Amino acid sequence: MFKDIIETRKRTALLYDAIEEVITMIERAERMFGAVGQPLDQQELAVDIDQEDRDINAGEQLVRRMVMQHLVINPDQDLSTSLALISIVHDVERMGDYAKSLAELNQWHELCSGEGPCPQLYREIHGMITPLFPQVLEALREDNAATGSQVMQQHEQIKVRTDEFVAVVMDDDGAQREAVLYTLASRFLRRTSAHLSNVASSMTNPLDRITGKEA
Amino acid sequence: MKRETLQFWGQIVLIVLVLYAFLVSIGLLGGAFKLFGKDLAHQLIEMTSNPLVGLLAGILATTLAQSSSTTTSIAVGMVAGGALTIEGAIPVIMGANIGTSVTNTLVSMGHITRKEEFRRALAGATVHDFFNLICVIILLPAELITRAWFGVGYLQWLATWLTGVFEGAGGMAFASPLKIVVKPAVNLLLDLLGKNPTLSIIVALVLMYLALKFLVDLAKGVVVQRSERYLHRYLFSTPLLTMAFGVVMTVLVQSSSITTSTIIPLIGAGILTLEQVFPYTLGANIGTTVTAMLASLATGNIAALIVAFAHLCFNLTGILLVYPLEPIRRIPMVMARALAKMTSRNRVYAFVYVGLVFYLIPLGMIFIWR
Repeated sequence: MFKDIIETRKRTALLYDAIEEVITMIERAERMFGAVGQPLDQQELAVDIDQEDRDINAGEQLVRRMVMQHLVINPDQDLSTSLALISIVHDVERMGDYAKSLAELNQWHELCSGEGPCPQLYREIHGMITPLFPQVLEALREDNAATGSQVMQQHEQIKVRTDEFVAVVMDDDGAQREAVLYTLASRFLRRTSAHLSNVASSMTNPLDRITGKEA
Repeated sequence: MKRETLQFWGQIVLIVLVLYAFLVSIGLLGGAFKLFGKDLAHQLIEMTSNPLVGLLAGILATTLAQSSSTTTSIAVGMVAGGALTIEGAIPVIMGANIGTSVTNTLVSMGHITRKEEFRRALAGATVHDFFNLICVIILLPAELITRAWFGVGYLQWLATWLTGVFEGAGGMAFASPLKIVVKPAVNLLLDLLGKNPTLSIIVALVLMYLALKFLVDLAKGVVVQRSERYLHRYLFSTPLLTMAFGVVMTVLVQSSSITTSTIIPLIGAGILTLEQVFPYTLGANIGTTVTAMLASLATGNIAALIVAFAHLCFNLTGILLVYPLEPIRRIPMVMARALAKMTSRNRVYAFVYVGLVFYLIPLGMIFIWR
């Protein structure tokens, strides 16, 4: 769907610019997500989370505008790609929001630090999600359905692990305050993975089944 | 060679051929009016001696043909054929400017089922109408008053001066090959039609209408579809660049109706504001004058060229009058927003507005004065 537009680099095609913007947005979300897997002192040095989130939100508006302009001028060209882009930017915007939410949780309690089962699980799931970003980017650039499919399958595994994460938190009678934070973190990690899977599904699924199970 | 490249060059060749047909139609029109002799010319000149009749005829003809280029080209052809004076042609051209804005107003009706979208789209479309109406309300009396005082209207004087500059710079010498290329086809057509003036006029008008229609369709295919990135870049740019983009787009497409109608859905969606769109429509007004310019060059007639320059000067002075000062610039926008607000409450007003301004008032007034 995207490869033709990227490869031909249509000089006059606004969709090419829109795809490039989506890629930049995913790279921003990747940086934000990477930061929330690091200890707090390193995180602040690495990325300005709020600024990245604002840029992602602005990117979402820009892509919508570009798609709308493209459809007004060339309504019969790349219609499904245009609609897919509208769906993808929404997913990327959500990824940004969840990364920001994780960063906010980190302000309360450093999620990735410590040796208990919860920090370990947090680090493990974060580590499972991190490679999905470059995979999604590769799937987008190369229009690679196989890579897209891999991301969706990995998401299914992450879902199982986040359920287990919640179960571990619930079993821990000790720290109630931390339990709330890790439960939320588990949901945010799961949603981040789900939105990555949604983006990947645009490479594997027909337009009406984007964000669904693999077709 | 790639299929797309071949297709592109095929379209360019077709555009050149259709442009040639258009220029031939102008030559044929001029030739046909000459065949009629002085009696008809006197009658037509008499008829258009009332500038208001000329103005309303220009509005009506343009709204019916949905093309100001057709009206201005006919005016140029008639001036070249001696059937219309420069003084008579100037109000017709002003009328064409008003008439051409009906197309984007009609396009905005496509949003009528969604109240807010329609309000924005109609405001975006009618800002062009109101700007053109304001220009005519100010500049037509200015032309008539200066004509009464100095013997020559300011537009005619300015256009004559520009024609002199153009001639002095070798412009007419440059244009003469155009006339040489067109003339054999015009003579051939006149011979084929048995030098029958009525038949020649009918053939010229049909040929002109079809040529312009095909020309715009072809240019739309070549230019507009490839313009999306530039549209994105320049419509969100500075007003001057936006205006320049409007000029270039309209020159390439040869139709201000197309360039202004294209952006109506973007205004309706709220992506473009009235303030962003306004300079673009003004640029379209300037760009559309190129068609009459081309037509006049094909005739090789100085009076026809003056009329074409008068069209350009009218639009330029209109912009200089309305655009630079913010309080004046806001007037057409305020009027467009007020009309849009009114019509969003009761959408029948939109039809009443189009019917009255573009059809009933011009038709009724012409009928009364006649």
